[in-house]
Amino acid sequence: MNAQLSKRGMQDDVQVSELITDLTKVVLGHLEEYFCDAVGLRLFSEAYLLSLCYLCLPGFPPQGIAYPQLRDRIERLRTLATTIGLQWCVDQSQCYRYVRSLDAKSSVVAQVVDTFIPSVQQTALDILDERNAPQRDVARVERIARQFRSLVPAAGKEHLTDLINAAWLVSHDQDTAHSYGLEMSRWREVVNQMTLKSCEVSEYHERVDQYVDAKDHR
Amino acid sequence: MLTPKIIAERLQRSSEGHVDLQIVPTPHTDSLRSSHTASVDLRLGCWFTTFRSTQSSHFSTFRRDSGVTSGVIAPTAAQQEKSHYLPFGSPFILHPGQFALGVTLEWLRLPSDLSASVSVRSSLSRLGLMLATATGVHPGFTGCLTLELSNIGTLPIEIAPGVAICQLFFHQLEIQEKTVSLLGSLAGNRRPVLRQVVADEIAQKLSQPPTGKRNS
Repeated sequence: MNAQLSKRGMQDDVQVSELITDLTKVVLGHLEEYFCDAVGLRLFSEAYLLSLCYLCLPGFPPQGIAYPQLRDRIERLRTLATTIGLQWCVDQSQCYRYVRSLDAKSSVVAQVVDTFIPSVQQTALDILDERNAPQRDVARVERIARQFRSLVPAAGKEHLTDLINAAWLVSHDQDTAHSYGLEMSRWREVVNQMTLKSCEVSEYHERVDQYVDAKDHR
Repeated sequence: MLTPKIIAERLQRSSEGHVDLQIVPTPHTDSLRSSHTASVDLRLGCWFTTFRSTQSSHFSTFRRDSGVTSGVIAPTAAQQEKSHYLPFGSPFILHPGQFALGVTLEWLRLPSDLSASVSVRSSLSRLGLMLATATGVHPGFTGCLTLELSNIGTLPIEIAPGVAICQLFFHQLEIQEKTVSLLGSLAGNRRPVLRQVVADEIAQKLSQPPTGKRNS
């Protein structure tokens, strides 16, 4: 009875009520980030980790309480990556450059968020599995990477995730770049062109096959 | 010049992992083998470059300070051009007298012993569609081919990404060079490439008024 009264008292208190609303927004914001990370990792596998590393780590500015700390995101991604059998390829030493000191409000947020992360991540994975979202396939990625190394885009109908993973795989390939006498920046430019061309070629096959299928059904 | 049967064989070799002729998307080798033409048809890609009218009176093909007229400094070529992406199914209308750059849908990689030449398909050229004449593709080239499109007819011509627009004839080099430049400035691209005109020093000297001095 006393507990119920004090709970009601807290809800009636304008300041406490505002604080709860505020914290709920922050918690939801954090969970959205973790949800999106899980979607990104499930769809793009190692390429997601590498692009996160590329975009966020060099000079990534510290973010406010509205976002989870990069260190925590990386840790959660690491756990999830291991669970779904991915290779961990992020240099974590860079992730700890900006660690926010936790005040009381942030600590509460972190504790609440922590309890929900596993279910949020699982929900993201389930949604994509239900929709049969393609997953990167190591053999396909290797095959496309071989094409890229011979300066030719992928010839067939490929999944975007395989193309992007192959592009990341070869974009750091100094031996190949040097074998063509190219600076790394020029090599990456060519890899970009080949990746985007592969997307165009995939669309071409997709469209032509659709037409053939439609014709067959008539 | 390579026969369609040999072109098909060389495409087949590259699909088996050898370094040879590659065309992506790959033409049907069976159709090529039974073909009576000595060429491979290429399709139009999705990227176009058009040129804006600007304040400059002209482009000089040999002056470094090209475009400086009446105190108005012309924008660079890059500022004058405009790149367009057209998805499959969207038309591109080339009006009489208009010039635009297009690109092949196919990405080519020529081995070191093959060169190629491009020409517009005769059925289209009879409507007034022209490509730059005798476009040569050097051994070792890799990338999509830039097509210089112009309409010299009297009616607008509708083209679209995916249309079979030109044909490629392959030639075998008599002596194979050991080293070829695979990725020059025009290679490795999927969009039309506009190269800056290199200043011609001799033409620049000739364009100066004579000084009257004679070198001994």
